[in-house]
Amino acid sequence: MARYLSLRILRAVAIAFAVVTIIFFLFELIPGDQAMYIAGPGSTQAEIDALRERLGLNDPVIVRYVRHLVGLVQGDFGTSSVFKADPLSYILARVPATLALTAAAILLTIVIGIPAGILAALSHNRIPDLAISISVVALLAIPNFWLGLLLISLLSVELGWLPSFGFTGWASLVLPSLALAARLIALVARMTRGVMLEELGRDYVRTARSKGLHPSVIVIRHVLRNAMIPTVTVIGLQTGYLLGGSVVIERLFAWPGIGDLMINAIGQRDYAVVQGITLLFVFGFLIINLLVEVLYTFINPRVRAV
Amino acid sequence: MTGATEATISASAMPDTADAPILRVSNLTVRFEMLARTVQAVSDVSFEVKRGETFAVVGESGSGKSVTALALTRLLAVPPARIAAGEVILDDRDLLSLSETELRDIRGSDIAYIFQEPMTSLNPSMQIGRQIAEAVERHRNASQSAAMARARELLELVRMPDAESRLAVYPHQLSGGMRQRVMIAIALACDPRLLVADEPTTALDVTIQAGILALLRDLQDQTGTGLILITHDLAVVAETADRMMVMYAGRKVEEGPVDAVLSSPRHPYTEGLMGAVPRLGSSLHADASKPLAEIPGLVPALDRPIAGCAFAPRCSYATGQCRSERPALTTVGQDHVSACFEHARIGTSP
Repeated sequence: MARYLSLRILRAVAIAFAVVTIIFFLFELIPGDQAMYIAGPGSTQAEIDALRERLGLNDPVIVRYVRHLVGLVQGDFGTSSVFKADPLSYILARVPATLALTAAAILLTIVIGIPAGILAALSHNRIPDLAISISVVALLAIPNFWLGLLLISLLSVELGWLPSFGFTGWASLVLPSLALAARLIALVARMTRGVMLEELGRDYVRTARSKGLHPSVIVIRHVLRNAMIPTVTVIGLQTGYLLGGSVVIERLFAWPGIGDLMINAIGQRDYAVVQGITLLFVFGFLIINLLVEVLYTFINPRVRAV
Repeated sequence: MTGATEATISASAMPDTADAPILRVSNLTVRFEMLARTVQAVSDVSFEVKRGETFAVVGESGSGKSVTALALTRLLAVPPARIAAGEVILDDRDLLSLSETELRDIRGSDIAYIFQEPMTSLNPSMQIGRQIAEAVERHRNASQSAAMARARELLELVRMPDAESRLAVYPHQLSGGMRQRVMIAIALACDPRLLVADEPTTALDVTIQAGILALLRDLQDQTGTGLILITHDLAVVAETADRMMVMYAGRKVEEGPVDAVLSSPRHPYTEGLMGAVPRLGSSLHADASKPLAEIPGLVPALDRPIAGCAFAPRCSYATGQCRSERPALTTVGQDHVSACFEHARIGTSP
């Protein structure tokens, strides 16, 4: 187990290093002068040149790359052109809002997606299954920002049940997390249905029936656990994509999270903030994957033995 | 084995309550009703199993033997399967007319199953101790700890080395033979009167097969449970069974004491099956140098009624009558029946 975990952590570190490198060189390729944005409009060429020199932007790319790596290890993300300071504290201030949104979306996925998939599998080819399967296709086809708009116009504007803008209490979480989770709910419902059907047809289910067990006992005690192995993996892996989806959804609902900050930063050419957020997303993704793998070993005894 | 066979024969000649059948199946017919077609997998099959007896059901894949076994306690998936006719009598009760709830009390308690694939027939994510204990808990009203103690006893009974520590082991940590022992332990959990073993040794190495068969025989001697042994392996039948039934295309084509059937088969299909078994040295057929015979042709499709004898197209004895009229089961020896018009000619080597 310890060996399994340390291997995974080592792999996560290697991936993080690769991503940092790719991001650095991608930003190198983007046209535009960072110093110009930091100096701001109305600065003279001499001021910009001085700033370039001070920020070390005239050094060769390799030197800047190494300096960048050293800085990151020390927690230095560069200088934000908007905040005129280290962007980290500004980014971290936005993290709780995004975490709350993501967590709410995952919670919705678990309490809606998994039961819907189970219900569909148990009513295979009958009305509930058909209704769920059709909803799944619809939800997968609708882009989340458009679903967000529909939710706002129906539940917020027309009916006035829920707030649609910013954070004014826990009710504010409902619409954005629903819009964010919709695709994942559909994906998990479809996945759970498929895996449940597959597991229900397995030989061990017949063995369980031959013991005289009640069908509900067979489903809860035998089938669910085996069906959850791939489902947990999918939820875990898709959680990373929730972060990407949150950029759009946060913008739509004016949600004060890092996605919203990122859009602003891109608009303002604030490289340090964009880079910081991208890295945060990457680390978030890796940490989630690591957690999924740890969880996976707990529900799948076959992996634990390796 | 010979002794047991003789005992069986004399017992059925003079009915005796001690040797009354524990299970009586009559006219069992099972259909699989699918969208485009209906397949009649089992047609009008009748047989009995007596206390302590091993009754072998033999046939190729698709002959309906596994479907017959699963139909006994309605373990088939409904739909597509439908038991169209027949009775399965256990203790004067027809299992086929019981409710699902009543039937669940019988499954695992009176009738228990041992399935073919020990790899897939056990739950991969549950400790084997729990898988055995849950059968005990289900029927014995036992506490978890009492059921687990019973599970340990059962593992010892099936000669699992180091039983205590194996309780917490998962199926993938055991070899195929050990997994099959776990399956047997599950089946024996509630001292069933009838065990149904569906190809219990097919997935195992030959050396392990012998061990499992010996184990089953010993357990049967100890507990007096009846055993329905489903197999396509005539060597296994000759080794372990008292009586046998040969199935072809969903019908019983021959039934009788193992000695009688294997020494003088009265159906060309049985004869063909015997010809397809490789032998070392002496054999039931004197000519051991003869190449291994295969039965020409394929098992017929069962989605429409077959005119005449289903085996006729593959049969070297077939006559015009065989192709137009279905032969009924007729007595061809003591307790020995065959569904063949030409049964007297079998063995005359056409």
